Amino acid sequence: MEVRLIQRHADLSGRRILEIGCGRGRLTRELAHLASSVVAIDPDPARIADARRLKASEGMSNVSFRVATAERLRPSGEPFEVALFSWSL
Amino acid sequence: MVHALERARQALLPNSPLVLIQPHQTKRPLVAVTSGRRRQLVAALVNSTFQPRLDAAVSAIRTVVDRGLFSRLGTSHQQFRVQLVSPAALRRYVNLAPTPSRFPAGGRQRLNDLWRSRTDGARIEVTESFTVFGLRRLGE
Repeated sequence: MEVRLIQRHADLSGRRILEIGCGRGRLTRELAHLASSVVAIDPDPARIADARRLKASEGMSNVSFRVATAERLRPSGEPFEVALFSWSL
Repeated sequence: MVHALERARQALLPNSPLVLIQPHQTKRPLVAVTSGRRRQLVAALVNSTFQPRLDAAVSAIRTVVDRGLFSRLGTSHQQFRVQLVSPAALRRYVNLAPTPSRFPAGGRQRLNDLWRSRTDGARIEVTESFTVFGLRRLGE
């Protein structure tokens, strides 16, 4: 449902997506099916560890999980085409 | 929070969308006991820790729009319902949140009373309300 609602405002297909506040990767998993790549960040190392396990078990090769906050985000590489704050601002 | 939005803007291509999913600013999670078509309201959960953060988030969105950093693409309000099989399941569900909501005074007692007098197939239903904000990055 969340992805459908997000797509009312942003086309996710084939996009480079930044997800802020990814938690354990519940929404990231759905985004990964649509996006060209997803960088998913969360400040909690334990949640990111869980998300990485999810990535390994589901083969989400286009996803990168990182421990980070939006406030400390440093632009690097190509800019993103969509940014999401999922329950996290 | 404004700083977080500014950072996200820096990471975005110009004219690209930023989407935020937030709990609704004023509609709290509603707990009811349901059975068939019957729905008995228990209470709206409260969260005194979370509410100031929610107000600040909405204010931050307004600020970045007022500063010309983003334009609004639209705002939509949505609900979803979660069906739970017992008060223990409700407790587990509520405690999934980093800052769990609580019953207001008398709320848990009302739940226990309604649950004791439930009919077969009864469920505890939580109605969650949330808002999706769509923004577009302005400027170079």
